[in-house]
Amino acid sequence: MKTGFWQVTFAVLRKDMLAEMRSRELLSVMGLFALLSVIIFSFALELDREARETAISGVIWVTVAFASIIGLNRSMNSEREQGNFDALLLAPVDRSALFLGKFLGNFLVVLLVGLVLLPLGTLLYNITLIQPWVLLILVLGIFGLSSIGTLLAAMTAQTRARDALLSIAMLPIVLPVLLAAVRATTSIISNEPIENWITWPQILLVVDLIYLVLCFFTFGFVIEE
Amino acid sequence: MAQAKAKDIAQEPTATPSLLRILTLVTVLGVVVALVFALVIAGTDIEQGEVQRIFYVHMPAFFGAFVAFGATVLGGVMYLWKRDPKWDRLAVAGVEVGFALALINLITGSIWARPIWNTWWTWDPRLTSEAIMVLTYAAYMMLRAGIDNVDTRRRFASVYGILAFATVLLVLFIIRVRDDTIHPTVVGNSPQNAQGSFAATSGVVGALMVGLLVWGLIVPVTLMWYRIRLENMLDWVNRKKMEVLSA
Amino acid sequence: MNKRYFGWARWLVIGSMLLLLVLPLGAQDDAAEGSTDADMSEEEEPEIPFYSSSEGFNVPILSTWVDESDNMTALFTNTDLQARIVTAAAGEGDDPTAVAADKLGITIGSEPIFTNRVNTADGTWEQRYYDEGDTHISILSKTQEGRRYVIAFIESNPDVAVYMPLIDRTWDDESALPGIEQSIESLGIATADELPEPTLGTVSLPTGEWQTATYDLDGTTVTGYGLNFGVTDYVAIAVGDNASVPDLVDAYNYTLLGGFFVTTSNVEYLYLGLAVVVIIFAVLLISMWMRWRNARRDLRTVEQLTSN
Repeated sequence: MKTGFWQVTFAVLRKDMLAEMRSRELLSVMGLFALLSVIIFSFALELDREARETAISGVIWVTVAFASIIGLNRSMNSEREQGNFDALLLAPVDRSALFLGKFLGNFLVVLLVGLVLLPLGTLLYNITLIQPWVLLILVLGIFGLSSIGTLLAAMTAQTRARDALLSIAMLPIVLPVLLAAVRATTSIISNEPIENWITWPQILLVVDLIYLVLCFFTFGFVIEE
Repeated sequence: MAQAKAKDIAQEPTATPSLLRILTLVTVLGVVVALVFALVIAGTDIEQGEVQRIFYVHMPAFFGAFVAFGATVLGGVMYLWKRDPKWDRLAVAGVEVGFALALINLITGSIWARPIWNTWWTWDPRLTSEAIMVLTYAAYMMLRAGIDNVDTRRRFASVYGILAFATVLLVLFIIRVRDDTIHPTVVGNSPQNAQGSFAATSGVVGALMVGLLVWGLIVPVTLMWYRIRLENMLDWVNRKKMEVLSA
Repeated sequence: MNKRYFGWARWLVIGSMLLLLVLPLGAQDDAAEGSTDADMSEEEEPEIPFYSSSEGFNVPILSTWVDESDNMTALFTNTDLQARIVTAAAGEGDDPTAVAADKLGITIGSEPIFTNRVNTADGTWEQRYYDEGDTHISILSKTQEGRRYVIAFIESNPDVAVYMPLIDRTWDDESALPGIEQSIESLGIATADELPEPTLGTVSLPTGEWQTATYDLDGTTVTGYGLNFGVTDYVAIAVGDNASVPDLVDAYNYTLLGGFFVTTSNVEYLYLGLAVVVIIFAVLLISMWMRWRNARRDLRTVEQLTSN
């Protein structure tokens, strides 16, 4: 007997979302980190308007990347501490479905943090970040971060260095995602014509898909015991 | 799992095979020939001076790293598929040799840049992505070192070795998506505002071809072979230790 | 279940790897299309053949002149114009006039009619001008990296006297006229007050758009050529028959503007680079050898334990 693929995916997703809704542990930690990070950057950089326009997208994306690392570590460590994966692996379920469930959970949580960051950045840096294209870039960028992040967090949760290792393993590999996202965001908020930056969302989309496919199929190798 | 265990046997270390001996000789000769081509046969670049000769090692070293990291991807995919540790040994050999070559590429580039660009380092997209690539493979080695279980280590390393190749591709192609790199092409333009470019220095193509063959192919292959034999030896010793402990 | 999983997954993993390769290849095509314009303009630039001296300096080869250069000294001769251009290197303390005279095989007995130093974008040049009857010599020299580099222009046409001075650009407008008049005054041909109103014009030569000024000085034609080149004006003054001036101006300034430059001596960086290559390979090889030795020692210990 085998549980259906999507059934498993949504079961894992629902479990994560329910746990998060009850404890609000992840969201509060990540949200607070994001707030602190944006404020500290604005102090550290002390920017005039023009410099802010070029720096804000970097600030936003660095914050999102580190917030997602914090979230991923928490989410995978709790999974491991409570032995959830070991239990799930005993059940006849598709491992890719587990990945998809975890990935969607992480994606939604980080996206929520990103969505909070946009009005925050708009407020603190006095630059309109709430634009449809910025939202699209945010979704695409966080999509890429979460897929690689979910896979690597599942790996590093099983190592000795754990949290520390995730950041050094993850940041270089998500660099193409961050690069494309930062460049696209900068161009959009400085109101450049669309033909100047439309390649960046396209590159982002392709990189996202490649990373998703790679992670989807290699996740099974990472959690087998 | 039983299947994986059964394959987890290192071959008993053998004496150096004669093919490897020949290859070692070829490598040493190749390095000498490549150096003669780079330092003697190729003409001095009239614009950049003697330091330009470093290029005949700098550029091939990147392709050597590319070949080695490519071997890591192959090893990773084949290990995940066949679960034969020999493929993982190929992967780890690729990372270590590729890391050394990438480091050579990075540092020789920096040394070249000092007299030519008047700076050791600049945050140029290509230099930055290259540095990130080197750090990625440093992370690979830390990841391996951080896992005690042999099977887990091999699986994770295989997955990470495949993913890490994305940064190699980024270095190669960042020049296509970000054209603001100042990383040069082979023949530069005049330092003053001459209405043309220099005729190519003699012997550049020959030195580059020999360099590519030696540093880009022969050297990494030989080094990886030795590294594979070392990893096999280490696995063999570990297996013997386990046998003693369980006896 | 495991088996089935790997069966289809492996092809998808391989397929996705191929997909990963398609992206950059695609990006490459896009970029190539976008940059064709830049590539085209680069290809259209003519390649300048350079003479490279074993002394480390380089000058463009004057293709219409006779090349009499040897290994160390560049010498270009034009018998129709009765002119020679020589570029040489000497010791830092050597007298540029003596060096030029030696390389040209002549003696220069007179004192220079004009000498000074000019700061160009390419360093500080000392210039000297000699009037030896029918022979007129312009000598530029500068020291760089412990060598003195000399560029001399000599012209022996009895019908004309040609000098090629460099003038610091101290005025604001685009005109080259102040440079020309300053040169005429410095070379002692006439003072500014004596000069009549010139006939102005421009001449387009391969080295650039030259402004010309022709004076009728008591029946003698004085021709001035001037080229604005940033901080310096490149000037040519001809007293007498000016038919050969465009060719001479272009040839001499092709040597100067077109690319006299000294190959930098930076061999120490090459040695540093090679040392790094050796060190990195040595670290890799020694670390591999040490691990191999330790493993073999462990193996021997283990084998002793088992045999006991």
